[in-house]
Amino acid sequence: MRPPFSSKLLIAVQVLLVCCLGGLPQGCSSHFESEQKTLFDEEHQVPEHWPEGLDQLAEDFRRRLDEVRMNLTQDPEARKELSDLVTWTDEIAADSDLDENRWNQLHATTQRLRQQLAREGGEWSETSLRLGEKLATELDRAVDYVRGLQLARDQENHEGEGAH
Amino acid sequence: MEGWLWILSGGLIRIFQGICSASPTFLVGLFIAAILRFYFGSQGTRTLFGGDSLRSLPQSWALGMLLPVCSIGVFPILFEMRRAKVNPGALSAFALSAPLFNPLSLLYGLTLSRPLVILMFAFGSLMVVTIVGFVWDLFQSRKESGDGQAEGATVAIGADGATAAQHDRLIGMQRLRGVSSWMVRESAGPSSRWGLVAVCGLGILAIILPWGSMQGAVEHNDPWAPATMAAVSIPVYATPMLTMSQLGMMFQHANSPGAAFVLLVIGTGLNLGTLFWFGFQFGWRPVSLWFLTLMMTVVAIAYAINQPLIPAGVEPAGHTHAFDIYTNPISPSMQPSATVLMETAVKGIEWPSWISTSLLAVFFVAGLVLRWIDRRRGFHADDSPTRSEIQSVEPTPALRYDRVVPPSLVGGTLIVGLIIFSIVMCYAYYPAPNEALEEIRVARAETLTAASAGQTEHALQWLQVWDDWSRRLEVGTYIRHFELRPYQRMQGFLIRKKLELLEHELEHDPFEIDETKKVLQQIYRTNERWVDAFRRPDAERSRP
Repeated sequence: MRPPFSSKLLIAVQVLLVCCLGGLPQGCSSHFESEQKTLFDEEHQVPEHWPEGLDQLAEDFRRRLDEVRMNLTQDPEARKELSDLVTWTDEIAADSDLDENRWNQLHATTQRLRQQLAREGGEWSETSLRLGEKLATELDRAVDYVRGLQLARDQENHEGEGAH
Repeated sequence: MEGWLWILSGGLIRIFQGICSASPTFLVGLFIAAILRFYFGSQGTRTLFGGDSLRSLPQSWALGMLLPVCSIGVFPILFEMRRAKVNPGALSAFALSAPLFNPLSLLYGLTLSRPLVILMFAFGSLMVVTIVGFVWDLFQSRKESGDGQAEGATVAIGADGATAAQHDRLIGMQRLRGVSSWMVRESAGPSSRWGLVAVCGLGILAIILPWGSMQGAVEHNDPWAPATMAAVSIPVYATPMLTMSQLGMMFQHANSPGAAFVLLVIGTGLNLGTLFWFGFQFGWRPVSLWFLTLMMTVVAIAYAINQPLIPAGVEPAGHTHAFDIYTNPISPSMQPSATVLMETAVKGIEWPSWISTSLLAVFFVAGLVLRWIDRRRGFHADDSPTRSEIQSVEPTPALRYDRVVPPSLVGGTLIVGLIIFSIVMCYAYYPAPNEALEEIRVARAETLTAASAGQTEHALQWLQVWDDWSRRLEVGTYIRHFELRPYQRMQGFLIRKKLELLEHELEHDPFEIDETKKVLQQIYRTNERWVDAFRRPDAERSRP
């Protein structure tokens, strides 16, 4: 059998690889240590306008939607952040006590709104604002529902403690 | 221990791990090659791969997609194809596409990102193999194609005086014996040697790339990401499932989609062994052209699709551990010792790999012994199994109800059976949701208990198991109900996102128990919702 490869070729491949990859940094720790503060931030850059939970999402979304609708802001960044909230709604709602059927309703509305925004290149037209209003109302309802659940749970706990 | 010795040990560890991960699909490759050799014969093999027709390229691609082999498992099949004088274009189409997908990995891939992305990747691979195969067929001189004999071709039927007709005389038990003895001999033959060249690529990479050096190399906003991945992918050997899990991590970390495509086509489809084997078979000039066309096509497609693919809610982490497996496994913080080397070498090797590696080792030793005996008997090491089998054939007494079934029919049934078997295996690998949830319960208990107690290594090990089962749960649900509800998908995404946060906390140096417990609290609640989403029947969905 002939030798499986010539040493010259192997060296050529190695040299090529060394040239291409030699500049890669070693390890991740040194690369990420400088500017971050907490452990969470160290690994994931969380945007400042990421809401804490469903309550804050509903509140932020309503406020920013009103600002855009009433032309209180011309800042394209503010419009982009409003669109971000639409994108994050599914995840934040799924990370709450909202049940699947109610989540599905929210999901359907966010899907429609995202498609509309994609068609308009991120601009908030009348149609988008109308869908945004629908989403804001659904978010308010979702918050009420989750709060109601929490109240009922707290009440149950109180009764349980009382019985003991 | 000396620094250079330490680095070299890392390379050897990667080679060992490569052998272990290749062994299951290598055995499957041997089996398929034996079927081609003993049942299809040269003519049948050529017909199976489309002969000289235009459809040979897509047909080879489609066959490659269905057969469960990796880029090392294709070697014995490539040798048989070469022996049967299948077109070089079809040969390259099969060599590149067979390791990319199989039913198991394709289903796994559909749980990553959007299913359409994986389907587009599959379509992209078809484009690549068609373009590259077409160019090669166009430029490959017919003379070379006619004269060149594959290494597998030293075992050509004609070379040892055994004709196709003689092969057809092998039926029943004799043929089965021929199949098994050939598989054993071949496991210690050219296929293994080229396989070793392939896994040496992993060793070279581990020697060149320091520990963790790929963690920030393919970010979505890095214009060099596809090119960097193209350079790394050439010596990479990866199994289809490994690549799929890496693609999953890349999507999760919002890495460059172009780099992901390069990793899939070049990293999984090609290895050093394939490249060198093609070079020795067809000459370096045409292979250089083929390789250049391949790289240019893949990198061009990679840059064309290199738009950010960031799922909702994902903020790029800035680094990923998906490619740690290609860098040196020895981190600078490790204390050099033989025990550490042993532990690092066997880390992550699962029991199916151990079983198949042991079986392959037995085959290998038996193959060496048989080849030695063959040489003593004066047969060529590569052709003797066939010849000796044929010489031992005695006229079979005709029984009244015996019917001689054409070998191609038996071979076709075996190949179709193998494909059906791999589909059935999907149901075993991706069990019913309740069974998967039971496995998840165990993994969860191990992970959370270890993380709470600060046993980071143990927690990290089980966290991977949990993550893996979360995907298998989704596939298992989909293939049984033909549906994965958006809510289930989102809950799966959430649990994996939080598991990733936990992973980062566990890897943090120094370990901070308070931060870890905060993440654990988030995981408890998310886990409840996630499990409920898969456990509850539709009627109960509205109950919180």
